[in-house]
Amino acid sequence: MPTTIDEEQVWEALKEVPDPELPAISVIDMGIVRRVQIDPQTSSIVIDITPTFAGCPALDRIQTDIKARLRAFASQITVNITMQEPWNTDMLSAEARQKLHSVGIAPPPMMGHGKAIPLLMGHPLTCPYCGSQQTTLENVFGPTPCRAIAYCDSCHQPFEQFKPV
Amino acid sequence: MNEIATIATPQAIPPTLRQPLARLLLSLADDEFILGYWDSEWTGVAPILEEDVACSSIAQDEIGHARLFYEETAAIIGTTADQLAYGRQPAEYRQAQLVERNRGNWAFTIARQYLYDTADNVRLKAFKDSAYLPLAQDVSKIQREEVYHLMHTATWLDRLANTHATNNTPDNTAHALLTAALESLWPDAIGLFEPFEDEELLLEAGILSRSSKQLEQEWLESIEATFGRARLPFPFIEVAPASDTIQQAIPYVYQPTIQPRYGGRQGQHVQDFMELWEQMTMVYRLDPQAQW
Repeated sequence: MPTTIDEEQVWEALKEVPDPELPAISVIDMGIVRRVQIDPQTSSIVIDITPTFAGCPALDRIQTDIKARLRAFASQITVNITMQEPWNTDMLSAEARQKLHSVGIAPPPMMGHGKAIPLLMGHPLTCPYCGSQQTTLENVFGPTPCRAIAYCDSCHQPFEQFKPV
Repeated sequence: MNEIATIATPQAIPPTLRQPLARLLLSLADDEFILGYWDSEWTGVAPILEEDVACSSIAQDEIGHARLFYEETAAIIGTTADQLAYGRQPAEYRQAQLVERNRGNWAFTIARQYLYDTADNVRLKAFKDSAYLPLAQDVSKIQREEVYHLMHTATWLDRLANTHATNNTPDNTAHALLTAALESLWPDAIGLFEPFEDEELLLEAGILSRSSKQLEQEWLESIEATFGRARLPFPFIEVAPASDTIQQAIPYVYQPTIQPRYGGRQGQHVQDFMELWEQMTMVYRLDPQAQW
C-alpha cells in the first residue's frame, strides 16, 4: 500500500463510478459526492455522499461501487450517507446535463430560488432528440423518482424529463 | 425564555430526550412506511396506467422517507432500520390509524392521501426548524419531494369532486364515493395530530416548534376552503378559543363535530394493519439474522 494517498487521484477515480440508473453519468457529475477525507497513517479513506432522492434505491449499490473502485488506494474505505445540505438538481454538473441530453433525458431547468412545480409545468419542455418545444408532459411521475414522462409531438418520440427538485 | 440549543448529532441528545425523540421519529417513520405500503398496492391495478406509475413512484418516495426516519431512530437507540421496519410486534408500531386502513377504492385512496399529505405538509414545515439537526436536514430534503405528492393528490381530489358525466345526466358517482370515503376517514385524520408522548419536553427543547394542537388548527385552516368549494364533508365548527389555552391570539378554533379515533401513537391498531403486518414482515421473520 502507498504511504501517501493523492486526493486528486481519488477524485479522478470517483469519476469512473457511474450512477447505476444512468450509467453514462458518474457520481461526480451527479454532484452527490460531498467530501473526501484521507488518513494515510491508517490507510483509510472516508467518503461522504448524499442521495439525489430519499427513496433512491441505488444508494447501497453506489456505496459498494465506490468502495470497490477505491480499494487500490487504501485498505479501509468507508462511505457515509449525509443529509447535510440536501441534494437538489442545481448540483448536476454541466457535463451531467449534456450527458443526460445525449441519452434522451431532458435535463432539469435550473431552479435557483424558484419552485419546482411551476418550473416543470409552466414552461415548454425541450425534446432531447430533435430540440422541439412542441412537447407534452404526460406524467409528472415516471420510471424512477427523478424522472417525469413527456412526449414530443414534433418527432413523435417519448422522452424522460429530469424533475427539478 | 430559555435559549434553544441545537442538537447536532445523536450523541449530543440529552438523556431525558432520547426516548421521546426516538418515539417521535418512529411515529414519522411508521406513518410514511405504512402509507407507502398501501400506495404500492395499486401497482398493476390502478384505474389508468399513468396512475399505476404515479402510485408506484409515490410509494417509493414514501418508503424512502420512512427509511430516513428509521435510520435516525436506529442511530439513537442503537439498532438497524431493518429491525425497526420489520422486527417489531404490531403493538410497537406508532403510525396514526389513518395510514393503516386498506387502500380501498380509488376515491378512498385519494381522500386518505389528501388528508395525509396536507397534514404532513403542515407538520414538515414545523420540523424544518427543529433543534435536532438531523431531523431538520431530513425534512428539508423530504419537503422538496413532497411538493409533487401534494400536487398530485390535490389535482385528483379536484377531479373526483368536480367530474360530471358527459351525457348531460348528472352523475355524481365520483363525488358520492369521495364523500363516503371522507366520512369514514375524518375520525382517523384527526388522530394524525394525537399529541406525541412527552410533547412538552420536546417543545421545550425546540425539537418540536409547535404543539400537535397548533399544527392541527393550521392544517384545518389550510384545507377548509377546498372542502367548502368541493362540497365535501368538513366536520368542524368554529368556536371561540378557551381562555386557558395558548390559542388566545387567534379569533377561533376548529372543534370537531365527530369523535376522533386516537390510539395509533400508543400502539393501538386496526385489523387492516394486523393483516398488513403479517404480510410485510413474513419474509423478515423467517430469518431475522439473514444477510440480504
